[in-house]
Amino acid sequence: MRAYPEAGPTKALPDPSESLDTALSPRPAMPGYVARNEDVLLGFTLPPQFIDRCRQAYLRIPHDPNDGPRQIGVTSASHGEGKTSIALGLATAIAADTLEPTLLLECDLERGSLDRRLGFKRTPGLSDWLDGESRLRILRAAPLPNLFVIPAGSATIDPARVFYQLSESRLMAELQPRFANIVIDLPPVLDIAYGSLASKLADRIVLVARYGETLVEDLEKVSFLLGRERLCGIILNGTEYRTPNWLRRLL
Amino acid sequence: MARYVDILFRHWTRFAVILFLLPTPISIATLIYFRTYQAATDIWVENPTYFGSSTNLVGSSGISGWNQYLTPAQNEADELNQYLQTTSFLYAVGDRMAADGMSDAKERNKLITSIPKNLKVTPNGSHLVAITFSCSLASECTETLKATIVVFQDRLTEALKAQEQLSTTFLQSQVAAAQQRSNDSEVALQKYISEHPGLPLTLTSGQTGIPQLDQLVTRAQQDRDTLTQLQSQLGQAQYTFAAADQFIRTSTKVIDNPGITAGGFLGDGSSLKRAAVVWLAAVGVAAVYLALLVWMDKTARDVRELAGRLSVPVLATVPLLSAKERF
Repeated sequence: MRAYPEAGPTKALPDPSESLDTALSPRPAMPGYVARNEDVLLGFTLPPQFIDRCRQAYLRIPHDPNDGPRQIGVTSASHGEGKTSIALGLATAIAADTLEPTLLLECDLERGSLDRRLGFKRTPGLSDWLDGESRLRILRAAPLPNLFVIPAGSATIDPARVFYQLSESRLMAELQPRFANIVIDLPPVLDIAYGSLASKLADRIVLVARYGETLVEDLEKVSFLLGRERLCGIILNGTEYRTPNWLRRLL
Repeated sequence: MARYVDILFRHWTRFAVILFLLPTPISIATLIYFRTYQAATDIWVENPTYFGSSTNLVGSSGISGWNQYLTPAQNEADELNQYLQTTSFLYAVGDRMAADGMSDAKERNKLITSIPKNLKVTPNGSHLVAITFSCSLASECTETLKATIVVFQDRLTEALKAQEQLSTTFLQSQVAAAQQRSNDSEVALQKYISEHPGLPLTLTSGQTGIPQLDQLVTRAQQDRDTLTQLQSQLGQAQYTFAAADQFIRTSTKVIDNPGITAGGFLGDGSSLKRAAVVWLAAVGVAAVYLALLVWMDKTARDVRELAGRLSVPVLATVPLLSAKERF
């Protein structure tokens, strides 16, 4: 975990445009091939039915292309409810369906788990870039040619400050023209103090609830904190119905 | 509702234990150990006029305690039901059973205390009275019924004897008085005849034309008639008293001897009811347990409930991935 930075003038952030341009530059025509010096995570596959459910979810979120890029924040009440998996599933489904440049921005700075799940190096990442420690790292999530990931980076002891810096930076403004779809993996709202601040990164937020674990009362609190108008829906994750299907249809 | 069903299926093993594994042995034990048998008997009750209207048994006022507006069966059933409410009758039944060979006093007491509850007397038609008794041993059921009927008949006999004894005592005094009056009338008539020789021979007609003589003749005749009538009634009462036992056993005939009507594995079915109660109790416990689980479970499970409480749509449900599929 990176230490608290010393007091003093804030470091200037490296220009993200270069990284973005490099990441989005034309690559070999053969899908699946990796260009030289390209930062790519490989061997990443998700279960088809999982992608399908995520597809069902994003298609139900109203989106008008004239309003700019599609920007969906994914959050939950607390950790361990499948928020990161759903964010990855949504980004994959959108990228696969639209063939437009799609970005998964991992903003769970304290407990980001994308690196562990997909098997890539955690650092450098968003937090390192925000501290001016490195250039903005953008990975291409092969085999899809249009799905990119910005990892959370080093865990920081003061994520609230980093988030403040993120909201002050022009990163989102830089990302929006380049990516038609941005999925933001936000930190959980109730577990951390800056959850509400983090959720301001996205206009539309999907709330992930773990079936049989998340308390409805917590979801109500989250709904209150985020504001109902920004909450575009809930994804109930990890459902495990024991009731026979025919009976469920009757109920 | 969906939440209830989901939790029911989620914890189906617990509910299987509550609904099946626990109640099944209890129900089987109930069926076996609390099985009850039913013995039944039918009594034919004769109409009081069966013995003729001249007997005291069926005198104009009827048998003591009989309601003339009810059928014989109803009267008899009512009488037996009243007896069954008395402790002395029940003890008499117990004594009778002891005399018949039931030596276990505890068992006897248990049986006789259960009589008011388990012995049912039902008039079945105008003359037929059906009596049933339920208990845990078939032989005891029939024995109890037999003893009850015998004691009941004995009680009727005693009541009839008491009634006839009272009648006899009363009639004996009446006969004595009538005898005296008749003798006095005869003496007065004989005295008049002896004092007035040459009277007409047709004295019995009472129409001699001599007013005093006619009066004496008529009075003597009336007194003789009264005496004869009272003697006849006395004889009848004495006869009834002597044959009271026979009268009662004829007027309340046991048509069908006590026998088991409901036996077998399920007995008379009351143990089945108990077993059903056990099941119902199990269902009740399961329902309470289910309600408790649902009440305690405040987690997100039901899509409709979520959408309703948060006023936002549920975009999708993502099934739990298997261990192989997880990433």
